[in-house]
Amino acid sequence: MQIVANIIFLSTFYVSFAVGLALVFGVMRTINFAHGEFYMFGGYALWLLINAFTGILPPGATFIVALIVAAGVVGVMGILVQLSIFHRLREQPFSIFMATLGLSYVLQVAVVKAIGPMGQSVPAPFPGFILFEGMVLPIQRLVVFGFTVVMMGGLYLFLMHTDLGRAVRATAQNRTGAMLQGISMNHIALTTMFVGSALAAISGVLMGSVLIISPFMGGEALWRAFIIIIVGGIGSLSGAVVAAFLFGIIDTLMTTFGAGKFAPMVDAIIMLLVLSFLPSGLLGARE
Amino acid sequence: MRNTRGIPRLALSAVAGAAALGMAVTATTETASAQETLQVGAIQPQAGDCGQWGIPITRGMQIWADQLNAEGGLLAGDGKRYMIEIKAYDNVCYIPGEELKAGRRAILDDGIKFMLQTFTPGSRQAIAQMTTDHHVLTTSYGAGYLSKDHPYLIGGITGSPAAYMLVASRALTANPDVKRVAIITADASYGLAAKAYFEAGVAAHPDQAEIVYNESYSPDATKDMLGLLTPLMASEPDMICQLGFVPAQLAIMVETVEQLGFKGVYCAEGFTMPIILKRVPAEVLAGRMYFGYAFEASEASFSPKGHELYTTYVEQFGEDQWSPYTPIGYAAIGTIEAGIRMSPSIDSEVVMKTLLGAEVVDHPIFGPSRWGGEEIYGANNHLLTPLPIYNLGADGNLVLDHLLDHAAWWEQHMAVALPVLEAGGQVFR
Repeated sequence: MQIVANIIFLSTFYVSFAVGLALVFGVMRTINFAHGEFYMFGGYALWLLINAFTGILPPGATFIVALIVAAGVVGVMGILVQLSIFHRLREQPFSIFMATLGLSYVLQVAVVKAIGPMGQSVPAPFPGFILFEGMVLPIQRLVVFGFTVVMMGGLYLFLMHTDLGRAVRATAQNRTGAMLQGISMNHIALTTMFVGSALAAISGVLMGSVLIISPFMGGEALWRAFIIIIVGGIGSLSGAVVAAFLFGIIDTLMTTFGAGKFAPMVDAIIMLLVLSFLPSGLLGARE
Repeated sequence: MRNTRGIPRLALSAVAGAAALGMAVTATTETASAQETLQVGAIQPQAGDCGQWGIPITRGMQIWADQLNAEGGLLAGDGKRYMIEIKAYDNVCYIPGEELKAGRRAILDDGIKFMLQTFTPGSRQAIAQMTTDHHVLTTSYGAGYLSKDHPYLIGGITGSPAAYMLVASRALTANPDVKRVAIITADASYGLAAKAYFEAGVAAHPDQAEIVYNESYSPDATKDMLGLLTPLMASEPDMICQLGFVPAQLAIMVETVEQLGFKGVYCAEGFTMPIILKRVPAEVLAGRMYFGYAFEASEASFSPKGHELYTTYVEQFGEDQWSPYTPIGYAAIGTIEAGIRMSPSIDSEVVMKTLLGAEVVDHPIFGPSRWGGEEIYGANNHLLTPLPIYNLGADGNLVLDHLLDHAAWWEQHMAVALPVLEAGGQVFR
């Protein structure tokens, strides 16, 4: 039974990080390489606030404050990246690729210089664990799972039940058609970058409470997220969720049965097979 | 006339100018000879997750240089003082190909003659021939890829991977109730070396303990500690020996196995206790954390000089940036310092011959130490420094648990340990 819990916890991590990237890629049709650093900022927001508010606020309350602050601040950073890079370099996807790659290195080095290269870990804001049916369920991981469900629910409501969300979906599905309907591409781009960046930061806060927080944590997560969104179908949020659970199952089972060191290779092979036989991914729309 | 008078004036001016220039050059040369600079290379990861090892190690070397420079330079055996300049080169994450690139930059481009690198055998092998061809005396915090064919590669201290064997053995000696040992190491050449050395340390206690779990993990799997450690805990160990987690990952590992019900002892090369104690209280872990690598500078009793490294580091970078890996580069470069002090010349070949020819090396941190390694490497290029082993006190501070005589331990247990190392592919003679 512990394996089931482990699968859910690992898949939660994959989902929380990959959806923001999938959203940005689906709408913008280009990769923001600094997405991983936005995730890293979420982790450091938690670390800074936990250190600042120790003895002032309960850790659980600080955790929630960190979620709000990180989402707001990093969302605004996403808007700045949209205005300074994506908008200025529109129609030049390779230039955007290089510019955001450069930005990601700059942000990493800035954190190394400002805080230091050593990874940090914060005490669990919701400590302890529950024993249930032979499973060890750390409360913090249950909290992360709960907040990820809430985050996904909020994203679903935004995309499905608001005019702005519908406009974002329309742009992701057919950019020209959306423009013909009078949807402002600049407005949608700003909204997408705010929401996508805020999701990365929320993911960083959530995962920072159970993983290590380091200047380089974004790079590792980004490569895993690429595999997930490619297999799920580029731009497909539901595909990203399905692929996240697929890799959560595969990686957990391989680790449990002593083959964890082969997991990255197997994941890459799955991605290559999907690209070969299902170029649009599991749930992606054919271009 | 005007010209004939002008020429001598011009000539006089030129001579005066040349004389002034000559005096200036002479003065500069005298200053330079008084403060001749010795460049020392450090090949370490300077970015990425592995930078959590490489950057503190490089900083430790820089503090070593700063301390010597503050004394007016390193007093060499030739009677002169040499200012030290540290030059860092990135090997990305101990990747042999990157080590080779870094070695080329250091040796071929910059003419480095004294250097520190990782003990990781694959990385050392990558530059072994180059260091030999160009006479670059290269120390390391342990004994990787030593050979009589490559006398310029030395193991500067006991360090990796021998320390793993000694720490595992010490933890078993101190805890006779430990019967079941789990070993978990990174799936990399340094992890495979650690695996064999942990096994050798357990093999020295054949009537006490058996290995019940022995697996390598992909660094990619460390984001899911619960999944990674569930099968380990299913083996019901009394002792967990690990190598490869970066400090904060190690904190999460300790927290996770504690949640999964572990009550036994830990052995590792180092624990960054402030990070761990944020997750698990000191009273829970006291007396259960055995570790040793070079020396732990935050603990003052073993080496006052080494403790200065800690205080300086904390002043410069902050306490939360302290790493148990900082002292290892500091200690390993100390062996080259000892060699330069005793050598009649700073020529790297002379220093190498003087150092390896010495029956006893007076190490600045560990004191008198002897060379060993013949049985494993076919060459006595490994300085067997004593290994201080630490544990956690109930108050959350580190305590010196035991000072282990490496040479004596090896003499006592070589018969059982050597075949295990050989089976693990760690004997190269």
